[in-house]
Amino acid sequence: MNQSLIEVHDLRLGYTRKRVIDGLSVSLRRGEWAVIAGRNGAGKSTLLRALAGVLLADGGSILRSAEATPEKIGFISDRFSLFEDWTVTRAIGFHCRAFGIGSFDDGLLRRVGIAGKTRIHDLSAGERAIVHLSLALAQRPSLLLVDEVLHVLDPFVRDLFVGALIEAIAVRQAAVVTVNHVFSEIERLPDRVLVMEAGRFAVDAPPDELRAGMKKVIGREPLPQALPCLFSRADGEYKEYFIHPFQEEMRREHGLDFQDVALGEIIKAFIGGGYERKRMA
Amino acid sequence: MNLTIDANSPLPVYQQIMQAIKLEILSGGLRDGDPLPSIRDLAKLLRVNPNTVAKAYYALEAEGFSEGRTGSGSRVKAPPGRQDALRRAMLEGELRAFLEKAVALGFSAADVTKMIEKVGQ
Amino acid sequence: MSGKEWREVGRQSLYFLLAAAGMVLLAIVGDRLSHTPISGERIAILLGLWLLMFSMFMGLSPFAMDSKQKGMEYLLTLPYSRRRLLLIKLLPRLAAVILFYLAFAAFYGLAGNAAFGGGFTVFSLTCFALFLISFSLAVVHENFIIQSLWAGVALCGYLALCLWVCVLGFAWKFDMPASWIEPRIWAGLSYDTPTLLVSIAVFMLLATPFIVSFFLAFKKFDLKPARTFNRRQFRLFLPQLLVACAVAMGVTYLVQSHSPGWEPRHFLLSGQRLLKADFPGKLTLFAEDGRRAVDTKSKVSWARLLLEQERRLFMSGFDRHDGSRIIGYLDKTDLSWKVLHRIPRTYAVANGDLGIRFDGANFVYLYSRPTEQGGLAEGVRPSGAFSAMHLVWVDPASGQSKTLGFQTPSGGRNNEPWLMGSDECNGRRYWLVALRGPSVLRLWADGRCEELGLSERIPVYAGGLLFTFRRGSLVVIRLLESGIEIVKEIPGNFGMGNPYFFSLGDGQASEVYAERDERIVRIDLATMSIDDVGPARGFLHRVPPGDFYFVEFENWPPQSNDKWNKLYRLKGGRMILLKQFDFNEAGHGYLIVNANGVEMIQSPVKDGKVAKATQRFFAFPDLRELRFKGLD
Repeated sequence: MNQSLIEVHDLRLGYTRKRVIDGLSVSLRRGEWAVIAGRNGAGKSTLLRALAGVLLADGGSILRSAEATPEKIGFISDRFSLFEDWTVTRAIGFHCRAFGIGSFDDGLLRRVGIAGKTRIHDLSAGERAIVHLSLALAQRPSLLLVDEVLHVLDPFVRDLFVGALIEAIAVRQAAVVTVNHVFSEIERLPDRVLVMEAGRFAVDAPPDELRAGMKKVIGREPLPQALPCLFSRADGEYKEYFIHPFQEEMRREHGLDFQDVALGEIIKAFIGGGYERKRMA
Repeated sequence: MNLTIDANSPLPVYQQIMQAIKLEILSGGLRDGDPLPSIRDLAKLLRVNPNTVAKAYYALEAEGFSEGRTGSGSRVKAPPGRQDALRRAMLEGELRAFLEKAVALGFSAADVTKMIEKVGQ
Repeated sequence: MSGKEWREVGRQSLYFLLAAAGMVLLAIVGDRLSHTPISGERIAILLGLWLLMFSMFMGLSPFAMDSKQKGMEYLLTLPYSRRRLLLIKLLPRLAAVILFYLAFAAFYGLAGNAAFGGGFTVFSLTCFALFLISFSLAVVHENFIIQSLWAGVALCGYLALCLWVCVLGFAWKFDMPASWIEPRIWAGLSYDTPTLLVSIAVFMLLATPFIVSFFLAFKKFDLKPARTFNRRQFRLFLPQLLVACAVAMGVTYLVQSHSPGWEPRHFLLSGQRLLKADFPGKLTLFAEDGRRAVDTKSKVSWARLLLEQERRLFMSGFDRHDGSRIIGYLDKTDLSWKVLHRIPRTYAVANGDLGIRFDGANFVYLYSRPTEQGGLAEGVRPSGAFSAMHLVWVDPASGQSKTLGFQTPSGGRNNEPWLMGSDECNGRRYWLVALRGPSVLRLWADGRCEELGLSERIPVYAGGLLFTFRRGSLVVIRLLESGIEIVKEIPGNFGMGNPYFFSLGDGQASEVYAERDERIVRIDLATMSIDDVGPARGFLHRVPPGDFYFVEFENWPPQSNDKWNKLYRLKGGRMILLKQFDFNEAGHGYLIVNANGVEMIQSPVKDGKVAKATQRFFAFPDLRELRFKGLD
């Protein structure tokens, strides 16, 4: 559980003019589920592609352990890149030969009802996701990189998808990295929440710690100066304050109604939509 | 077995899992020597991280509610003598939380006792 | 993975093959409809161009299909190193190009080997260079058309650079003006082995930076915009290209140093002496009792001995320093050296070195198409550049020259005018010029141009008479002050030896010798009677001013294993055997006869290869062999 699969150190990566990732460091361990959140264009997909080896670093390093060889990295891109006019069967055959895979489990494909002779370009987005997941799982990956694909799946397929990821962690101690915006479905899943901002991680903490460390107070009165307010939002007469870091003693000292904040809301606050930031994290 | 996880509960998920399993044991749903569901199955069932389930199982083992290798083949360990004490401890915990809320609403202990008797009838 | 590539290349090749077959079919049908015979050469050109297109397509396309099918990202997630990925892409395509090239080469050899003007080597090199260059531009842009444009630009630049490096290498080696070499290199490719080796090496070397920079840059290939990749590749490419250019130039320099064609030349002089002319500009005067050398400190390669006087040796040569032709002389006594006359590089001298002649008083040459204006002397009539022919005479004593412009009646088609005679009529000088065509012109010193008639071959001027050739007869013409008078028409198929070695005038001759129907005959110029002299199993040599020699061969026509040649002097209708020249070894041997003696040249053949030629010299009058110390 504590073996480091991939160590990213001071990663810098950009396109022709724009630097997308700027000095990012992170270490991923086996068996953990990390969720990457961030604004559109914050560099989440770029980071995933860098981890998958599709994009190469301009600076810094990505150290892959012996368990995270390219054969053992499953990458499900939101582009669903495959050779479009191939049939599913041909794609599977090719994938297995390329990755040296002995047996392929087509259980997921059968449950979703994807026939082998279907061409890739005739598949729906959800079906593509399942095909890619099946291919990635066939690699018996130690690291599964899942770009923002969950939201395009219908509830049934999403359930299958998430279940398969859970199984990969449980059975193979795979590390799973997903990029998400919508948290209701996976609120209880991640071990680790990573929020990207300005090309690096502004937040890297277990969800429980995040929830425990942040409470909100709603009221008309201004917040006492002593309380560490990270974000605030005004809506008419009422103001919403996010206290961070929150400590239980504050309840006794201030007697305010410190409310719990859902993970999605915490991330939304960090991402910054509609909040006034009082203080840098 | 009847396990529910409340996504919005402030209680950490692994504690919710522990509670749920303890409840099962106390209510007789799981008896001494019964196998606990595998981490993989339970994680998939509850849509929680397998690590969380594993953590709950570790904690249960530490508290003496299960034995055997964690992950595969954990078994319930529920000596009849301990069940009563446990049941009481759980009720006490629930009661304490309830009283805290009542106090916050401005009730005294006497008010609460009265109300319990009234509702009980 | 490689299976996918082979299959893809196979399918694309098949399409191309079908297209080629259709094209050939159309060409054949077209030929049939227009009732012209089917031309293998034309089909070879069609297929050749098609092959070039195929090479370019194969080079440019390795990632086109993947990116069209949105598979680029997937491709990069495969567990292959970038290098392996590139090799997987390269090998099937290279194989396809080689296969098609071989098929084309076979077809070319069988059916159309006149296509591309025989420049098959250049074609082959271009074909593979195009493939490699295109391949190195495989990811230059997402758009195939823009990619092709890039490949076209790169190929043009590449070819220009190849030529430039070759030319500069040669210019460096031989200290010649680059502009003079350029046209000669491509001509040299077809027969000159060192030039061919050099060009292959240069083609290869200069293609390397493209492919190597691509392989190196591809190590960091990813999904970023092509510009990033291009910039990286270019940064790798540029220094490599500079190195490759330098190496290529070095190779040109080194390989060409062993080139033939720069052999020293020997000129047999009077007084049993020999002049050896080395490049660059080194002259050595050999006598049997010693030698004297002079370094003219110029980059002149000597072409011909124009005239030998008591003191001076007049020579024509090519100054490699500035590309001009020169007429100069060596003073035999004090070994001083002087340039008498210089013909600028931009003047096209008719017949080059052979075209500078001595007419008894002056050196004369013709030139046309001056590419520079204002090069003419005073008093010359302005004339249209295309129909004009210019005659220059140079005084051997003073070096003063005069240029005359002539308006020729041929309307500009002055094809290889050959100065073949000169004489005076009532104190006015004229020159005779044979045009390939063939007609004969008389150019008067006062600028008039007179057309004298036609001849089937280059006529001969001897003893004040013009001998023109017709089918089945020899027509002897006397030149009047204006017009001509036919003296006699003699039937028979005549030949009078190599016209290029005749002098311009020998007005005092009383007889000439010719070949007629495999016999040597004497023509008496006073009576116009024909006498049979003997069988013509060899070559007639006319040595100025008016001597005739005949070289008889052991076998006729000559063979490479001839063991001897016999030299006869022709005089008064008799063949006088002067000497039998025995060749030491089997091989190509021949004699060059001039006024001072005979040069015997032998190129022994050993193991099917022609070895270096050796020269021996025999001096008139007794044809004693001359031995010069330190000649080799």
